[in-house]
Amino acid sequence: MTRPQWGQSDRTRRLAGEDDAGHGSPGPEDAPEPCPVCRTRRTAPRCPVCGWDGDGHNAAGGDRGQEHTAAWRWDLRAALLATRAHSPERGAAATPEGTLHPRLRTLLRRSHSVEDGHGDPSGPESPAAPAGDGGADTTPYGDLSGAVSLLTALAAGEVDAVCFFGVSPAGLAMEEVGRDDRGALGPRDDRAAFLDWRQAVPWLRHPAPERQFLLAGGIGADAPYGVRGVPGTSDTAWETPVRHAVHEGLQGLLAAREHGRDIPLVAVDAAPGWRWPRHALTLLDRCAPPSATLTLRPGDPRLHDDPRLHGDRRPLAGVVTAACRRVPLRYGYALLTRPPDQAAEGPAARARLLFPCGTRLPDSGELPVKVPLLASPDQDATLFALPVVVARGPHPRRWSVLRTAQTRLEPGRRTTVTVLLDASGAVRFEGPEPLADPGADVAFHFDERALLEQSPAPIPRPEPLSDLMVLLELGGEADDFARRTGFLQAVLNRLAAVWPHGDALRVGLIGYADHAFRTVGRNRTGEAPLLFWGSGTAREAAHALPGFSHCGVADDFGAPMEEALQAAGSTGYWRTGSRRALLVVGRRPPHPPRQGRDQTLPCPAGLDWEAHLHHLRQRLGLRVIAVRDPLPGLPGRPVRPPTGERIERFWEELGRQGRFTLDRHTPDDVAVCFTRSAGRRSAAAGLMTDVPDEEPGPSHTRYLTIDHGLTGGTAQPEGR
Amino acid sequence: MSAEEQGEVRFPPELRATTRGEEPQAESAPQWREAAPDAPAGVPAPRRPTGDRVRIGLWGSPTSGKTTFLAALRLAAQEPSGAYGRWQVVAADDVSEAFLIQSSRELTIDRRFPVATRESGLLSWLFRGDLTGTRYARKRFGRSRRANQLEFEFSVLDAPGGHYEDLYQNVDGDRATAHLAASTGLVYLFDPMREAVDGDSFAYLNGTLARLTRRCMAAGALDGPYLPHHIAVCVTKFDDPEVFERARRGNWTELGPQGTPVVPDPEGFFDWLAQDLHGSTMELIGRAIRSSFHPSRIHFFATSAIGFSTRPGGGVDLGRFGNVHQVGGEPQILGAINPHNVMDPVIALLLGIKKRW
Ligand SMILES: Nc1nc2c(ncn2[C@@H]2O[C@H](COP(=O)(O)OP(=O)(O)OP(=O)(O)O)[C@@H](O)[C@H]2O)c(=O)[nH]1
Ligand SMILES: [Mg+2]
Repeated sequence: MTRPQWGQSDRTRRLAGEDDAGHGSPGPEDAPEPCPVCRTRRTAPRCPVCGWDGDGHNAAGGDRGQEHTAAWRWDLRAALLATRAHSPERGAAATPEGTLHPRLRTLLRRSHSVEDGHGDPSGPESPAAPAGDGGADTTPYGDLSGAVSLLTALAAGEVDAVCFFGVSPAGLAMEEVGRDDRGALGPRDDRAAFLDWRQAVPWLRHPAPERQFLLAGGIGADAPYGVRGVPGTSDTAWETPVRHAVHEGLQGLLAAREHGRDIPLVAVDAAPGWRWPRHALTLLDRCAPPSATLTLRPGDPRLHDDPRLHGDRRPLAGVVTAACRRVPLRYGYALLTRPPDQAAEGPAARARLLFPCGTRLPDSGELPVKVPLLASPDQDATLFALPVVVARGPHPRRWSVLRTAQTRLEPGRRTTVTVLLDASGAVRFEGPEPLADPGADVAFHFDERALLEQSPAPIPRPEPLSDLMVLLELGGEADDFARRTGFLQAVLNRLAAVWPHGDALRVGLIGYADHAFRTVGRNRTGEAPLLFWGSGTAREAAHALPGFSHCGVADDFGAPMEEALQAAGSTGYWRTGSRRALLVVGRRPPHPPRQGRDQTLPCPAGLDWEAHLHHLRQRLGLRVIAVRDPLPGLPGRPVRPPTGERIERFWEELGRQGRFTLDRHTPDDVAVCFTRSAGRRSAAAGLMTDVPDEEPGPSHTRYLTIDHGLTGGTAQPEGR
Repeated sequence: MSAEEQGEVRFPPELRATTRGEEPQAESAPQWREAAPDAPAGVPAPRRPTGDRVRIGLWGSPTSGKTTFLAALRLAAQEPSGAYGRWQVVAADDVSEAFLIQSSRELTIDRRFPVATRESGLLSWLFRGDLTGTRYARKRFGRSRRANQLEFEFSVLDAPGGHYEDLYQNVDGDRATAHLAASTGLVYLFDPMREAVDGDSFAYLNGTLARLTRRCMAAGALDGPYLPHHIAVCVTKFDDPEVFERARRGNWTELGPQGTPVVPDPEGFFDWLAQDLHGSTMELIGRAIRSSFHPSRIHFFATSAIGFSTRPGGGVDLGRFGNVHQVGGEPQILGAINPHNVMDPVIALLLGIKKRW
């Protein structure tokens, strides 16, 4: 017999275990005949499932009519359950009548008269009938509280994980919720599993409505009921496969528990009242009693619209995610700011609490907090960072950055930034100033660690040596060239401000003019198109720049940058142990080593820019910062696709560690990128200064100090 | 059927039949508005083809390289290796002479391409050559030396390529077609890269072919379903990296005797390129040409007016074959021009036409 297998989201599927016996229901020997109504094997005269009393008056009298009516009512109940559940298969016909088996149709058509005449057909032990079926229905549908309390324990680190085991009309599902190092909870994709009923019970190959009717407890044996192809008249056809399925699903959990992991189980009943799903839960009770139970209507929307469906079926993921979001924040979220009175020995950054620990995520919409801030006048940069951290403790080492935004402000300006927390626990910024997400630009990786690890009182350390080589494209119109040199001059001036004197920073310049392209072929003409200056301090380099002048263009799509890269790698310019960077300010990519499909002529010397760039990065350990002077629209025909592709690919490759565009970024941005790579933080994007509320009365501003924000759970952020 | 006889009588009546006010006639000096002002009075008019004189027309969509082809033609004819024998090129009028001098200078000294043609001009040269000792020579025993001496009139209406498209709005366009109809051989230039971008060559070709067929039909010159002309279909700008790389990718190139890449099977290359430029109308062009001209009168070539750039010692380095670079949005020629398959189409047409006489 081929065993059903649980579909795992990860690639390793657990193999079916061998032992089936031991947890089963009582053996079949002591059940001489099945219950005439629900066909359960009885051990006592009174049927435990449907409540039919075989020894009662009705049966004793041999009244076939009575028995028939009872069986009919039992099936009717199953039919009602089956047809009221939403079809779990996406795309399945939503018109039940159309696809129904004739027998089910008959059952439904007569359901009204039966309900009127006889009331609730379910036996005393049978589970609650579907809502609206008459009779009191006290089940708290969709009550997440049990699950949430377990998840809260998980967030607090009291348990290792929480496992959800669910049954639904579609199948059996497992989800495991884990906790990341920020205390955030979420279902773990590699632990989710799903087993369709059709796989669990191999003979259950019926169309959806009939399959659900049978799952709900419908008998469907031979005539007079006659749903086709159901083997046998008793439960043997069901019990073994259901037992296998449950044991399969629990294997991983039981194994983890044996290894000492504390993983409580939540049973999710998404098919309340259904006979066989309920049987699975009964078995679950026996071998791994759940710590909480969650009952859902089969039509609960969270069961079906799973946003993370990647081809896998994850019916529980939606419910589990919803439960995780009910868990209050384990750690507070805070905004890093500069203390207003920056005393020499004070900390460089301070965390201003936005959402304290214990904050409940909003059910819908966003939770706003307004923070008045000041762009510090003593900071000469215009770029400010707004990092929101998850504060796992009072020490900055225990802070981890959740999200960073950046804003440009004139130093000395005041502003109010709104931080919004949404239902998924994500944070967003809004402000009167344009805010940029630094993640969108490679060049802008906010150096969080650098900020967080700033020692409170900087200990004077020997300054690291830094070497900067600038490659400047000389070819082009005078205006273009002036733009490039102007930008470069501003960058050098910024660096000169950070390294005012001494030789901690050494700058060299290489200007590259266009190839002459007189002779074709490999024999080089004597004229090297390079112009060297250096080395000296940043200020000297800035003064030397006017010595470079522009020159003519020999090819619209190639400049001898490859020659400059080779020269940068071969000079004895780099000092041992220095931090090295190459700044390229250019408009055109280098010539390719060989002519390919694009129009650009190959380098006359056959140099390969990629090899030289690799040499610079890997052998010399350079960080390459690319500043691209965007190509002006050329007259004539458009750039051909192979040429355009080559240009883009080049800038992408060159700018892997920092890429700027002349008219989109400022010299500040480039200088910050370099100073950071050179280990200087003084020029990193600054923090905004916190401006405490000046209104009288209790202040809403709270800071994260030794104990606040970790334990406080009642404080709520100010509303909008 | 005697093509010779028809060649004699075919065209003049047909031209007269469509005469409009200023319609040129084959006998009279074509007084093109544009070409005329510079031409001093008393310039000898291009004579109508007689006897051995064959008239060859040139045709192609805009920027397919018509003017560059013409400019390179004389340089190609004077090829030092003598692959095409010895040729003398005699301009038929001042305009043609000026074009010859001016364009040769542009290509070789200024290293620029000719500017886009804005006005139609009739250019006419007499090519007199001797094929003796070349692979084109007829080596039949007993033939007189004269058998290898050829003379043809290369008479070209260098019209802006757009003229072949809007035949109906444009009187010049009509003249251009009339001129083609009066030729015996046609050189059709086709730029595959423009085709890859615009995909409109078919429109140019189709319009011209339709008009041409109508004219020949009216003149009773159709040869069964075919036009009477010989046609040389030239895939131009073969030196262009995009064209050449494709040819190499499809394994269509070989290294020729002079160390330059050649395409041994240009017809196969044409059809393959039509497939490779998927979605372009190149395939339709092949079909239109094959259905309009007799298979024995179609010749295919991969040409390049300026050719590949060569190593100092001769031969082409496949890592640096490009002879054009773009400066300030304008294409410029890198080094010496080495016309590739420029004379060949013309000679193929001549020989094809001669054979039938
Ligand atoms: N690579 C390459 N490009 C060529 C060649 N011939 C022409 N070109 C390019 O094609 C462009 C147009 O050439 P023209 O000779 O002016 O073409 P045309 O058919 O006369 O154009 P119109 O007069 O506008 O109809 C030139 O500017 C060159 O860029 C060639 O042999 N090789
Ligand atoms: Mg032209």
